[in-house]
Amino acid sequence: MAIDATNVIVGAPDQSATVGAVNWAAVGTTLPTDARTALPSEWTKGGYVSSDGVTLSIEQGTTSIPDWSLGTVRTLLEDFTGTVTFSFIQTDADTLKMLFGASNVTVTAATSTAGEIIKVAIGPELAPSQAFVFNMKDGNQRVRLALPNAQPTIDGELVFRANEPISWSVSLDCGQDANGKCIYFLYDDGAVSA
Amino acid sequence: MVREWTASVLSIPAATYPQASAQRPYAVVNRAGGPVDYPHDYPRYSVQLWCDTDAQGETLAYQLAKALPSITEAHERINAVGNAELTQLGYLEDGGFIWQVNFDLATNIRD
Repeated sequence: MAIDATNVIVGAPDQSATVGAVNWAAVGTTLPTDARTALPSEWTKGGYVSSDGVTLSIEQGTTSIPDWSLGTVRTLLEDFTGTVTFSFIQTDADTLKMLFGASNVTVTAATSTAGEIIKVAIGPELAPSQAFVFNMKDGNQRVRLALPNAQPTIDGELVFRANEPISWSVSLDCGQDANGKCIYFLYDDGAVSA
Repeated sequence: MVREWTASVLSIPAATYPQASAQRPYAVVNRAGGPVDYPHDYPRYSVQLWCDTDAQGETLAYQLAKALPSITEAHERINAVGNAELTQLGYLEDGGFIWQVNFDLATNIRD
């Protein structure tokens, strides 16, 4: 294919002033089949993500099989891992429930003496796996990452500083769906037909 | 589109240069820099707020800064927006004040 600068795309968040670009729902929720249609209400909308954006890491571990002459005659797949990492810089109950499990997050309504209180009980356990969708855009082009079965974990340190947002570093280990797939990449080039 | 968005958010006139007949407050919107790497453009915008009082300028500047995340919804070409920088530029000979709001956009200008 000839070079075409218009096909150089960026991954800006497709978000509004009120709805974020990271979404999650229970495993088994129907994944989107296009990159543009708004997600239905069963998807929880996440908040602001840091300027580092979202990183998808795919690793295919292989082993080479040499023949008698020691040349490689075949390469076998040994393992596959897909991981998505990003950081929420918005602290809210929905995000914390996704990260630590809903049963570990208690929300107490505001009173005349205190605001809404979110209490998170953190221990040696994992939150339930979820399906995730990341909505991205570049002009009228749209990009989506869909993870049918991803295990969220907190990745790294939680740093409290006066001049930085509290940042929840999330790592999503991508598990398989019923078709044996872990990650779906959807791209809409925005060039509609007549 | 930044000019239109500014006028809409602040409900004051906005133009790309000071209008001779304009009554304060009004906004002057200019591109102040930023690289183009087609099909992407990363303009830096300067919005000057010409006001009768210092307090009015400050109020409008913060109002614009607070609304800035919504500019990504003003046009599909706008991919992202940076943080606002606010500066009080000083006062005019007739007693008016100018506040300035600078911010960066990331846009797609594909034909």
